[in-house]
Amino acid sequence: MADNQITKEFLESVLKCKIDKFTVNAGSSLGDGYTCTLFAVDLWRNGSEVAESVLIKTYPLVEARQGFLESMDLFVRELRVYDTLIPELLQFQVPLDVPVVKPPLAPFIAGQFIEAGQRTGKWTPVENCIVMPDLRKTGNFRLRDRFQGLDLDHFKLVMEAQATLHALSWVYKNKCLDEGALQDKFPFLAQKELPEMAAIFKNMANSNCENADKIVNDPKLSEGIEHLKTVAFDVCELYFGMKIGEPTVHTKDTVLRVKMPTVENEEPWLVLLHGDAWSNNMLFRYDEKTGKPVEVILVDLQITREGDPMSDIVYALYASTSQSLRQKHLTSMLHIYYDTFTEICKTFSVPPLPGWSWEELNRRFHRAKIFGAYMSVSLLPTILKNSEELLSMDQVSEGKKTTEDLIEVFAELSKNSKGNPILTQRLREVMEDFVSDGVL
Amino acid sequence: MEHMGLGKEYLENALGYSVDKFELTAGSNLGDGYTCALLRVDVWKVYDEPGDPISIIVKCYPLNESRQEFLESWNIFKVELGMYERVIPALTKFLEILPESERMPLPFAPMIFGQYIKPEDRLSLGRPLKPSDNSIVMPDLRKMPKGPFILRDRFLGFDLDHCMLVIENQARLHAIAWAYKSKRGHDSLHEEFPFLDNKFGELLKAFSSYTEANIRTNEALFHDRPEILGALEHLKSIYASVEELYYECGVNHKEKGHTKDNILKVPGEIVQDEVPWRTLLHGDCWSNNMMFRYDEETGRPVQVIFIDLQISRESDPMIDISYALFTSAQLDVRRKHLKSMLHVYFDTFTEICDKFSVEPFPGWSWKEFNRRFHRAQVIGGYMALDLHIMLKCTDEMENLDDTMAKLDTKGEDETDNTQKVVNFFTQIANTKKVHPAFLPRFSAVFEELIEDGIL
Repeated sequence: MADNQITKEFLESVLKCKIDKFTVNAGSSLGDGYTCTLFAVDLWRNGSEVAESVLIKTYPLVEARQGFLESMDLFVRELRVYDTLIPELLQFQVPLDVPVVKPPLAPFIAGQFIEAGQRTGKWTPVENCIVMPDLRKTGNFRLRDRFQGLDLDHFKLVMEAQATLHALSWVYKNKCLDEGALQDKFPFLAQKELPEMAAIFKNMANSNCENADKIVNDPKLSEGIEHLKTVAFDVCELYFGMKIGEPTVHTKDTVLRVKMPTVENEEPWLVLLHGDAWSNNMLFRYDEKTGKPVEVILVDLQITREGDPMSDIVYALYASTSQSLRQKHLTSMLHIYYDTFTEICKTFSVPPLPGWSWEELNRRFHRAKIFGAYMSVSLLPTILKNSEELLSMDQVSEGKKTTEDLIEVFAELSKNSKGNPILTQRLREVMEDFVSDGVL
Repeated sequence: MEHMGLGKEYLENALGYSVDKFELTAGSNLGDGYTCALLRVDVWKVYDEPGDPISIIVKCYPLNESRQEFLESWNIFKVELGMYERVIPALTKFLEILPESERMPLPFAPMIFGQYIKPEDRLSLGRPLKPSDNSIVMPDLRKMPKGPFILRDRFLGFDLDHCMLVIENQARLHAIAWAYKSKRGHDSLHEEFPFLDNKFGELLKAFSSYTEANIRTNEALFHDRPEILGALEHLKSIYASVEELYYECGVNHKEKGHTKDNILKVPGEIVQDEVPWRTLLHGDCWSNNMMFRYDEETGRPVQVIFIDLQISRESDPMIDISYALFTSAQLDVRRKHLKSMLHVYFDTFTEICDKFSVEPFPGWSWKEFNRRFHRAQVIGGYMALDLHIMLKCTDEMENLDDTMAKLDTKGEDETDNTQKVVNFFTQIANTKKVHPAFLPRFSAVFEELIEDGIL
C-alpha cells in the first residue's frame, strides 16, 4: 500500500481548503472491498483543533484493476450518484413543505474524476477519488460480521432503508421527470453495451454454478442448479439490465422452473437501486446500552442503477440471511417494505408503482427470487471465504494485466480450497428454498 | 407533601444522604394510575457546590382512607413492594450464573427504597398511619441522565418496533423466572415469595358489576355491528370462566364444564394430560405500564421497562402476551406481524432456557406454543372491554381523591370499601363518550377474534 500517494496538495485541491496536517491509515481490510483502494485519513483543517476522520476511495494502483473499473464505469457512477443525483433527491423536496426524507446513504464531502483522455503525466490513481466522513469513527457505525449475516433486527432496518431509497427515487421521477427514466436525466446510471463480455460472463456463470453444485453436493438440488445454469444469462439480462448482445429467451415469468402466468399489460417497476445489497455494503449504528441496531447506511454505489426494486430485496435476503429467518419472518419483512414504500408515496401525494398492491408485491418478489439464486452462487463463496484464504486484492491482481485476467481472479477467489461448513450450509439452505419455492 | 409524611426526614432516610432541599413537581397524571398516590420529587443533595437535582418518584398510600383500605384488603401494595424488594433482586442475582456477555437485563427499574408497616405494627407507631409509611422510592425514569424513558402516548399504540421490544422482554421475564424456579426445584414461586399468592382473582370477581357495565357500554357503542354484538354476547357467557381459568379464582367453571379450550366460540384443539404453564408475569401489560427509551437520532425505541407491578403473579404466560398485543398494538400490527412476533417470543424463551440448561415448559414446541397462545387470545377480548376507559380523554378524568371523597360523603357508610371502589369504576364504565381512537381499535380487536373463532 503506497501511503505516499496521499499528499497535502492533493487533499487541499480536492477539499478546496487549507490543511494543517494529516495522517494516513490503510482503509480496506481483507474482505471489505475489492474494486477500489480505500484510505482512512485523519486530517486537521486549517485553524481547527479537531481531527476530521475521512475515508478516501480511489482508483486502485494496479492497471488491470483500473481497466475493470473503467470498462464498467463503476467509479464514475458512484461519484456522480454522490455529487449529482443525491443532491437532486434532497433538493426537490425543499419547496414541497413535507418533512425531508433522507436517502439512507452516506454523506459525501468531495470527489473528482479525471477521464483517461485528460490525464496528464502527473496523474496518479488517487486523483480519481471520493471523500466521505469515516462513519465508523465519527458516527459509531460498524460493519456487520459477514459470517453472522443479518438477523431480524438488522434486516428490518435494511427493508426500511431499501424501501426509502426506492420510494424516494420513485417520488422524484413522478414529481420532476413526469415518470420519465432516471437514466435519461442521469446518463451515468445507464449500463454500457458490452458485447465482448458475453463469453466471459457465460464462463463465469457456468463455473459459479458448477462450483456451487460441488459445495452443496446434493443430488436433490443439482437439478435446480442445472436449471440456473441454463437461464443464468437471461436472469442477468432481466434483472441486471446487462446488455451483452444476445436477446433473452425468457421473461421474468418463464425463467422460473415453475413458470408463472404472464400478466397482461404489466408495467415494469423502475426505481433507483442500491445494487450491491449484501451485508458488507451496509454500515449499522448500535444503541450503546442494549447493542440493538438502530440505523443503517447503504454504501458502495458502484452498481447502483435504475431497475427492479425486487432485485435489491432478494439480493439482501439471499446473500445475508439464514433459512430460519426467512421461514419465520419473511412475510413480516415484506410488510415492512410495503408499508414504508406506501407511506412515503402518501407523504408526497404521488401514486405508488403501477399496479401496486400487497398481492402484486408478493408476485413480483416471488419471481425475482431467481435473481437471488444467481447472486447467491456468484457471491456466497466469496462472501463466506475463510479469512485465511482471503488475499489482499493487490497481491492477487499482481501480474494480471487484462480485464479477462482479473475476472479469472474473481473466479479463483470464489473457489473453495478447504471445506467451509458455514458456506456449505448457507448455500445449501438457499438452494433448498429455491427448489421448494419452484424457482429452480 | 408534609401531610403525606414525605418531608426531609423521610427523604434522608430513604435516600441515605443529607438533603439540602426538595421540590414536589406535578404528580400522578390523570389516566396514569388509580390505586397508589404517585409523586415526583426533585431532590438536591447537600454539596459544597450546587448540583443538578436527583429526580425520584415516590409511590405511596393515598390519603383517602377508603382507598387505603382497598389497597390493604387486596395486598396490592405488598405485591409491588415484594417484587422490587425480593423477587427482582433474586432474579438479578440468579442471572449472575451466566457469564457477563450472556446475561440479558430484566426489564425493570431499580428500587431505591421501600417500606411497609404491617397492620399489626401500626399500633406501636404511636401516631396515625401516614401515606409515606407504605411507600416505594424509585428513580424518575423520565429524567435518567443517559437517555430518558418515556411513557408511550396510549392513543398512539405500539407499532412493530414497540411490540417486538415488549414481546422480547416478556419472554425474558417469563424464561428467567421459569429457569429460576426450575433450578431451585420449586413447583411454584409462592414457596419462596408467598406474597405473590395474591387475591387478584377474587378482586376481579368483586368487580363483576364493572365488567357487566363495560359489556353494556360496548354493546351500546357498537349497536350497529351485529357481528360484534354476537361476539360480546359470547363473551358475556364465558367471562366469568375466563377469570376463573386465567386468574385462578373459583371453581364455578368446573361445574359449567368450561375449559380453556372449549370456552372459545370455535372450541380449540385439546391436548391430553396438558400440564399448565406457570411463571412470573408482569400482569398488567398495557401501554401505560411500559416506558421506552429511544435512540436520539432516529427516534427508534431501543429499550423498554415494565412498571406498575401491583398485579404481578405466577400464572399462564400467554396472558401477558395476549394482554399487551390486544390492548396496545396499533391496528394492523397483529395482522401483519403476529407470526413473526410469536417467533421472537418462542426463540427468546427457548434460548434463555438453553443458556441456563433447563427444560422449557412441559410439552414446549412451536406447535404447542401456538395452540396455547391461540386460545389465550380470549384474554384480549376480555381486556378490550376496558379499552374505552384506557383510551379516555384526560380531561374527563377527575382527581381520584376528590371523587372518592365525594363517594364517601354520600352517606353510604355500610358499603364496604371494595364496593366503593367498584362503584367508582363502574360509574366510569357507564359513560358512553369515547375518544375517536377507541372505535377502530376495538373493532380491529373484535374482528380478529371473531375471524379466529375465539368469540
